[in-house]
Amino acid sequence: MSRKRIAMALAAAALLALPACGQYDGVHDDFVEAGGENPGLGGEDGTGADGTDSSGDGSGGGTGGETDDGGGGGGGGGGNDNGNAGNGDTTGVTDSTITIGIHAPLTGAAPLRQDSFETGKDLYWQYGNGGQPVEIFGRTVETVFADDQYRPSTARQVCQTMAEEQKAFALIGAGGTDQIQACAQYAASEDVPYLSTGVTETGMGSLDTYFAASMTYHQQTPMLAEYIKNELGVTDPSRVAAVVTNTPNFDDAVEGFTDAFGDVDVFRPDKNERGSSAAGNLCTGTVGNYDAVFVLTSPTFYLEMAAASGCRPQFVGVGVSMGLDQVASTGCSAASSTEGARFFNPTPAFADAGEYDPDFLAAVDAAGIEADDVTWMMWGQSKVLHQMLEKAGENLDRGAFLDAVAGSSFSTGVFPDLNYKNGPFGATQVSVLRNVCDGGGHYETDFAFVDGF
Amino acid sequence: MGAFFALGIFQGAVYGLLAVGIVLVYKAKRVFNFAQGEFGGVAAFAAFYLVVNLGLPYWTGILGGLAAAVAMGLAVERVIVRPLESASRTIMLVALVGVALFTIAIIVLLGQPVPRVMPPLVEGSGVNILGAGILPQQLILLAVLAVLAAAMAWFFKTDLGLAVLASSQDTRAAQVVGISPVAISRLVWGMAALLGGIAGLLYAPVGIFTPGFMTLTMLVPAFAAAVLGGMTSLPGAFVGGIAIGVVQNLGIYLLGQQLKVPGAAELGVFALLMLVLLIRPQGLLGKEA
Amino acid sequence: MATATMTFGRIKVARRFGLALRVAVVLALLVLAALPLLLGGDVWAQRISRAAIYAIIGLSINTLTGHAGQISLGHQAFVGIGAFAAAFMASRLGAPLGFGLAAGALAGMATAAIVGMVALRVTGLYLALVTLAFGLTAETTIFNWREFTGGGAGAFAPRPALVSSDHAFALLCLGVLALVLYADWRLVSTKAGRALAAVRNDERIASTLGINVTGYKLAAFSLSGLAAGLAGGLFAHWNQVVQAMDFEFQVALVWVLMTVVGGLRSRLGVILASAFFALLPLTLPNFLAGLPWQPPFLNEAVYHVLPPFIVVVMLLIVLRFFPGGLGQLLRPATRWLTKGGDR
Repeated sequence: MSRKRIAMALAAAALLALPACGQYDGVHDDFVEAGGENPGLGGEDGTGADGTDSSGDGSGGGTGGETDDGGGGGGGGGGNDNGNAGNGDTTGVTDSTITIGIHAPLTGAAPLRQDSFETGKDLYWQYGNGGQPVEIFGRTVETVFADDQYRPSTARQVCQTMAEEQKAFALIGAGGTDQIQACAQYAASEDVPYLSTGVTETGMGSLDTYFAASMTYHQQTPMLAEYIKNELGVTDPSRVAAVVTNTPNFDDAVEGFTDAFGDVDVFRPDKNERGSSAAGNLCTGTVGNYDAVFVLTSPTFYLEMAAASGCRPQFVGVGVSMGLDQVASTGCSAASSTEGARFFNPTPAFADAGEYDPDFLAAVDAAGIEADDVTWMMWGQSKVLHQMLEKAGENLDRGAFLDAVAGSSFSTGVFPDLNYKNGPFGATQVSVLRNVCDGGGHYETDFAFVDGF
Repeated sequence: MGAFFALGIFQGAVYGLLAVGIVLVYKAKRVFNFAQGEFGGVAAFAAFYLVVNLGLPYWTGILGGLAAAVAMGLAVERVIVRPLESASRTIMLVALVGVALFTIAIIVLLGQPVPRVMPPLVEGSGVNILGAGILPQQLILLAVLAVLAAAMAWFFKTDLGLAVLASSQDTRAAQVVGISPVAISRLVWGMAALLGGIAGLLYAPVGIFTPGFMTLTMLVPAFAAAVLGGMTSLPGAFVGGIAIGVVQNLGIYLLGQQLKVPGAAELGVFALLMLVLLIRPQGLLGKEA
Repeated sequence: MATATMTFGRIKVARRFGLALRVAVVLALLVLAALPLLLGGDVWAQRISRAAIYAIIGLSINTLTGHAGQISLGHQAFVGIGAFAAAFMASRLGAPLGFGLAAGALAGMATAAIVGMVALRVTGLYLALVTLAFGLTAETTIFNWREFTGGGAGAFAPRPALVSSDHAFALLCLGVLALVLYADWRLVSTKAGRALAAVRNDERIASTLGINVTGYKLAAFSLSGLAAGLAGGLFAHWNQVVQAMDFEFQVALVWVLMTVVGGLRSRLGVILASAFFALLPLTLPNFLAGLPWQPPFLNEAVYHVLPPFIVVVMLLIVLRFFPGGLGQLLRPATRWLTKGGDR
């Protein structure tokens, strides 16, 4: 019996090893560098690089692969005839509509409110044109939405579903670094345009379909160090701590911060750890150990840490979800534990939205909804995308869009000014929000669109 | 170091409070109650709704929360536990896991899965214990745990408690002398739910809470605490809870922050659990395995 | 004499016809199941892969809980180890897929064997607790070990060229599922299966019958871990990125629930339930959001949190009303289909 089983296991192992035969050298390195290019996947690839990859793979003798490659080559050839004007990939574009896919965490460690998202994702497209639907060369914009559960693999999954099944022309990542990275890599492998708020730069710089709509963490953290020194007056590195989630995607943020500030205490809690366990480091009894604490974690972690701290450290940080009013109000209702926290944010505070874009309030009125800062953020990001789509022109396809956006600049007055001349990280400005607990916790704008301190 | 020790004691108090309920159910029904944490979850969310959303006074929140927990306990007893009485213990355990997940799903569906803050029983800033800032709420929690563990230990000395034990050891014989198994079952689950509700109400105001907060991070350490205490010993649940809390937080400090081992808290709990089960299965204060 | 021959002949014809009908029904069902793969495009190919991976996990739990009667609430540890081992082989060492999957399977097997050794000392409810705590520890400690798993960003598991298309990968997953299914069938219909049944029913009686209880228990754990690790390897390549949070302990609980819903020791039931549980979260939100009539009190986003709710309701219904699970409901149909067959 056991001999039989061993034979069976060997046979199974042999069967499993078989697929490896079709593999050519260096695929892994290529993969890591290019962020998940899928050379065998035909159909929508029209670029020369993919063509060469596929022909190399044919010699491996895999029948399945060959069939796919044949199909891919044919499809791509048609697209390439247009030269720079486009690749002929008009997924998600009809004569009257453009479909956009958005992913964000509704569940998991950094949940956004479902209802804000529901109202926020369509507000700009439905009412952004003076209370009327936005039209781009006669097309209106429809959105589809998916919950990425704050998990990279789910994000990749839902991005594929949105791009391929629900036919989204472009994808938007609303928040969550690891999820944005996973989706961006998928998007690059399928030549789907992808726009997100600025997060990590790790593995993102080489993705040719990715655009950051605000400053990356690596760009923001040196500014944050200057801010702590010049605005908060804390210059002694031993009085500064950094609490940053233990993901390689935040390494560039930590590096940027420590390079600029010097030898600060760095704590790297795990992604699924609880914030209360980090609180023991920040205080001795009710006395703070640090004058400034840089947090780059999930909002839930930050709130737990703040609430469990015996003292009231000065929290500062970068990022997107920390700047949501929901975080401020939760922190404030926990004994005002986050009062005075300052966060860099793509947009000015929601409380001052009318000052920076009166159209927003008009649209909110026209829609008859109760707006909040998620709505405001989505408004800004949609506005950026709108300008990009305008730039791409009437004959819209994914190739034309990417060509039009790369090297162009955009200005919305809600998100920072963008200039993609030197790659996908085109922002140089941030706004600074301050957590105010008076009258229900919320954020107020300390600085708007500054590029240094 | 000292701060982590103190944090551990007070974190452990929550585990102890859950463990008391787990021990009660195990003593009376020989069942591992994986739904124990969610009794607290239901109580906390019901109280939050009453106090924060409706703006009612705090005591109505406490009463409402405990009532919700007990109602859930009785419902679980009627709908799940009693029909499965004759099924294997493993099936019962799977069903109770299902109850916990079901409750979390309901809470997520009715409320948003966002973090919430419950106002504490007693306002006030923390006191410095060994360098850790400990909130008044946490002091209350530890005191309540001590009282409840003692009260439950006393309960099993009363006639009613003895009836529960008798029914657990031989249901038919107990029935002959007039102890109704149905009444006992209701009593036990009602009491367990009450204990779980108290745990949830006291722990929710410490920091912030999200759906499933009592099950996802508290339940396994609480079970480890119960096992460490001997699974049938109520003083054991108290001691075990605090020991697990201390081990966990020292683990975070020594393993996690000094040696950079990820997941130090869980590792500490698991190591302690294995140690107990392999070396001293009857636990610290248990009489039988 | 003549009538006898005629009757005999008629029985034969009826039998042949019955057999043909049964084969036709099975074939039709298989074709029906294959339709999404043929017509659904890449997205459906990915879903089929996921369903197949879940089915392997379900069969793995079935081996342990159904055949050997040992509970594991920490199965995500075995699957996760397999996934990260495969991802490590693929992205760091650049090894071919076969080696990655083999490494995943071996890693899962080794981990499960270690837990199995604990199970020799600790039984019943305590074993459930130990496996639960182990799964939690694996999730937070091993899976957050950055050099091995990439920490919060996760590990990448690129697919080799041959199975780089989603369709080819789905076929690979289905092939592995078929292998595991075959192994499970062989296991049950041999001496080992009967020995496991004896161990499941009563270890003491089993040992008096001369059955090596220790050996069979360890074997059940190892075999289950092997399948789980294999599924993990496929899971890693499925999305091409895996992360510790993919293996939260709730996931293991859902897997146990799905196996119970499918029906322990019912291969078809387990596979169907696993496929259902795998597809529900991926398809339900879009399906419900696309319905013409929307319940007024639920917004679109609620659909995204609905699947876990449905899953648990199904479990509670199954446990309460038909403890044999889906397998029990399907038994009349399967009995008809295999009538005169090997069972």
